[in-house]
Amino acid sequence: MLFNSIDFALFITLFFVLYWFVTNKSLKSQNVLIVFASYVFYGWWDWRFLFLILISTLVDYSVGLKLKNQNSPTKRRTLLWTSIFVNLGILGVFKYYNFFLDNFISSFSFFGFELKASSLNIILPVGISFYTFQTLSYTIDIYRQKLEPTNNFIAFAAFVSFFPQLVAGPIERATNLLPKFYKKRSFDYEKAVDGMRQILWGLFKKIVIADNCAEVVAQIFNNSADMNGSSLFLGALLFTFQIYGDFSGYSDIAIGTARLFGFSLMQNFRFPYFSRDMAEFWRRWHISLSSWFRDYLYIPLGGSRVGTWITIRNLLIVFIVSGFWHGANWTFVVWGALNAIYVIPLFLAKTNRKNLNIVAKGRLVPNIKEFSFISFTFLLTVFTWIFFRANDVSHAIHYIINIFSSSLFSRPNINTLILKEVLITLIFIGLLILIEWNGRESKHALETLSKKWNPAKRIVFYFGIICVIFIFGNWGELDFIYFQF
Amino acid sequence: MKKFIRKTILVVMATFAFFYVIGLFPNVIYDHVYPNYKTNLDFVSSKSADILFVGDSRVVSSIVANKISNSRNIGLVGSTPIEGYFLLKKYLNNNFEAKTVFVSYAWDRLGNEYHPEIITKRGLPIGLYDYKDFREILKLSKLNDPDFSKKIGIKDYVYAKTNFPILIGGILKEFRFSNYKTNLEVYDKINKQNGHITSMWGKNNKCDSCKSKESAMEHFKLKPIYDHYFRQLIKLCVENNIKVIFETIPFNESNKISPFVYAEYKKYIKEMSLAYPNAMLNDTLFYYPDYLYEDPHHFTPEGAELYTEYLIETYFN
Repeated sequence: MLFNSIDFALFITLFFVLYWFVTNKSLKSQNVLIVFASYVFYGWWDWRFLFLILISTLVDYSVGLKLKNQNSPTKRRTLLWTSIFVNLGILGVFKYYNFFLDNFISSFSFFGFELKASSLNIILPVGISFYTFQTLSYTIDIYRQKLEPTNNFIAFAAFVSFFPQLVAGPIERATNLLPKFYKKRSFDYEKAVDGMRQILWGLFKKIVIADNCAEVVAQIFNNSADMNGSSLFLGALLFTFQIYGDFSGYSDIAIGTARLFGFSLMQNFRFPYFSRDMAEFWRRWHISLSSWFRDYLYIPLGGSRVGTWITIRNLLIVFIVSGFWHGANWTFVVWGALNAIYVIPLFLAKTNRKNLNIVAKGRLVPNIKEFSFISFTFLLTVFTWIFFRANDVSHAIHYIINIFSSSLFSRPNINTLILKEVLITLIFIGLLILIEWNGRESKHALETLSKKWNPAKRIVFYFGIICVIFIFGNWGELDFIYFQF
Repeated sequence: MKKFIRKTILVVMATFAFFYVIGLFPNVIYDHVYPNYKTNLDFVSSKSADILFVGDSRVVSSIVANKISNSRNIGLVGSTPIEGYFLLKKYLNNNFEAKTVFVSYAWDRLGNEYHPEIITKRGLPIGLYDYKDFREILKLSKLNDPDFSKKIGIKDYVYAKTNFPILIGGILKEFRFSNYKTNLEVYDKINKQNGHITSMWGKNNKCDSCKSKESAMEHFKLKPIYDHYFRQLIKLCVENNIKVIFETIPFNESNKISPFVYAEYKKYIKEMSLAYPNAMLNDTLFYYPDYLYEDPHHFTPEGAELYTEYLIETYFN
């Protein structure tokens, strides 16, 4: 079920009624309802893959309980590896099997050996990388004795399958989300209204920005050989906003939806395109995944408190693995490596934590220095996203080479009908930048409006956004990009 | 909680009311599509003609009905055989008769692409289909064309009848303040020209390097749903003793169709000819000079005059 669909609007309305008016007397009933609704939500795509969530839930629940009573380090390690093996095993089979097989065969054929093996005809289950990482964090935290295992199976099943963030995050930590299933939730008007605001802004980002960009981006990337430099640059620029609108829009809707039901999910995006360097960008982009890799991979590898070369190795590993997490394609690996190359010099110069504050805090506009750093960082991300979007590495390389041709400064040679759509989309991208800049000091772009604007002004603004979504939005119910990860 | 629910309901209702009211003014939100559909729907329920021209925008722009006595061009812009069938059925259900029906559709209206939006954004909201018709399309598409059936659903009927924001919003992309004035002129033209209009698609009055959808085709892949209604359309005429003529509106010279694609198309028309021996289904392709086209698919007024003269000589003399 997609957030940007009428099905979801009906689903959430029904769930709201059942949650607050039918099951509100008992915490257990509310949790059972969450599990049931989450399974319906996920099963809407393909009910067959529900058993994968169930396996992850059962294995990690059992491992958690066994870890509690186990003092032997060897046995504890065995239990942890069981959880890791099952979760990453599911991920490996469904996501990476064909990739490894194809590359294995290609490597052998390179040396003159012809191998015959058939790839699996399997569909990638939606959101598999998200919920496996979420459940993994549970067992790892218990193993590290940072978390007490739960013996409340319903609460644990609700934590694993909680529908707002099930298929595309934020990847919640058990330490943050699980305790919320133990406590009675009460309706908070202010939080619910703010949740609605965040949902509205998420829908704007997804339906107006991302989905309108998507069609133009597809046209340009699919016909990149016939496009001139300026069209290719435009394609990369629009993809930069497509991926942001799509993913951060999803996170906004997920966080806003959770707030309607008394849950606070972690912030997943903190206005990343206003970052002044790439280290800051990675503290603001997909925060739940970056912090997951930081806590469960980078720090165990030694982090930056080791020698220079080991730090470089650790950063490379984390970024490459992070790239590979996104998809079984070399393009994602290159994308990860490129980001590592951007970030490593900052670590070496020890300037990676230079920009921890909010840019131009308390000021209307950034100063020239800030603006130049923001623009430079933004341009770096535009180029890395080309690898993320391209069909393969050679496509990405040709794409970039063709951007830097004399035609970079000529008029884009895209279809004139599309050009009109592009102009409209660019206007809304401008609006997105303005609103996000205005709200950059808060948790989401519209949060501060209730404090800054009077009710009449706010009503006009919200209604304007609703009209823009309905009139200019792309209602083709396009999937969220991150579902495939 | 009550305050939250009250406010949410208020916002939802205000949104629906706003779009509902906008939907009451189709002459402003639609472009020339609305007068084209509306006048044809009015025609089939109140008037009759011996010769009817059924098809898509190419029929609308190519056939000057005023030059052929007792004829009417009831082509619908963007339409497929589904719309053509239901429009003709409405006409015959009103006990009107016809002697000849000339049918023509662009190839992408028979195969290669689906056009569900013509049903959901035009046919349904403008009133070409009632609930029974729409149910029939849904049922048939489920049986014959599952891919098409995924693109439309009962919700589209609800959207159309309630001026649902998504539906009206989708149409509003074409909104221009000037629509109202233009549409009044289009009404006037259509009434004067018996359903024929031109100069709506291109502004150059010439087309030196036009490329049509057909010339870009690598295959002619028939869509089961359109095939079904194309057959139904011919069957409807045959059952009512109406002479059926079918042919493709000429292409411009720049649009050389691949011989391979043409062979696939010819094969289909041959099959249809065998299935309906009484129908006159012509698979010959004609090419007219580029300067007679406004865009890759539509004639200039001069081109329409020439083509109509050819039709008179060939079929209506």
